[in-house]
Amino acid sequence: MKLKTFLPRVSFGRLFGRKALAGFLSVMAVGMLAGAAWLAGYPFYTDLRAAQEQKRLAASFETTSVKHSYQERSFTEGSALTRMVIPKLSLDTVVVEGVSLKALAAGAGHYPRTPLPGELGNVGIAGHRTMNGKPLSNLQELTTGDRIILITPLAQFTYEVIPAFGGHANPWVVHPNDASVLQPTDEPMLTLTTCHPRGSAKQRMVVRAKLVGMESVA
Amino acid sequence: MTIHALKGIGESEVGKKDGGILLRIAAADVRLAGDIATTEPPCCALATTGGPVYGYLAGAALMALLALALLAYVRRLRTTV
Repeated sequence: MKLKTFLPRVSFGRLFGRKALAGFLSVMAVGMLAGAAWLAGYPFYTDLRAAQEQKRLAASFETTSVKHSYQERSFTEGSALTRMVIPKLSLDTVVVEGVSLKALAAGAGHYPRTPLPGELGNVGIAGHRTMNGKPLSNLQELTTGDRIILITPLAQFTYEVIPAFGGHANPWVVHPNDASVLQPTDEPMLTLTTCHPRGSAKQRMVVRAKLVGMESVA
Repeated sequence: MTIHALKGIGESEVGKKDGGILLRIAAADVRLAGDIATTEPPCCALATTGGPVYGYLAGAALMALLALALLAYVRRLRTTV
């Protein structure tokens, strides 16, 4: 397509002076190229930022402050809560407290109003499927019996993905407003949520797992 | 306060021998620290965890094309008399 076809046929050169116009448009074009570079690089930047944040969280997880937080049941948003290991997905990430955009910049976060790992009820954890380290990028690959391990300073909890239940598969897809997936359960469960389809926030993919083992951490 | 001690063996009461265990409570002092665990689910929506990667890349491509078109126009502007 020729440029003439979509640029107005007004002689801007006569109106503003050819050199001034050329200079202004050049600056504008360079600015747009810079903007394009920023847009293209932003998803990768969030991955790098999440990797840096994970390093910091892994270091803080080793300190006694996390243990104190568990003993007092008091966590601030964005602080390290548990390590989550999913062997099938080759995932080992530190989950922070909170699911705000800021907290989830680290990759995965714990829904604040759900129980802590290992407690009775339904532990809720959300993780990015794209950008920000994308820890739950391949959540759809989990099947019945796959292990999800939550490691806290007090104990290590092993959950297993349960078979299909409630008339749907596991994993399954829900509406973003369907917070019922985080409803308390009679047994100790773990619910992971992430966005679906990949690269969109139109729906959520959910996986439910059941606590099957616990080992105290020395 | 209800204590379910040795459930299944027999009935437990203060001062009663139950399954070989004598349970006497002279005084009790309970202190709670921190917040009580709550299990209420979030009220409205599940967390947003899917950045629009393709949107960013498409936007970048569109912006780059526009910039190149603009640069081509500038070149024409400079060369034509």
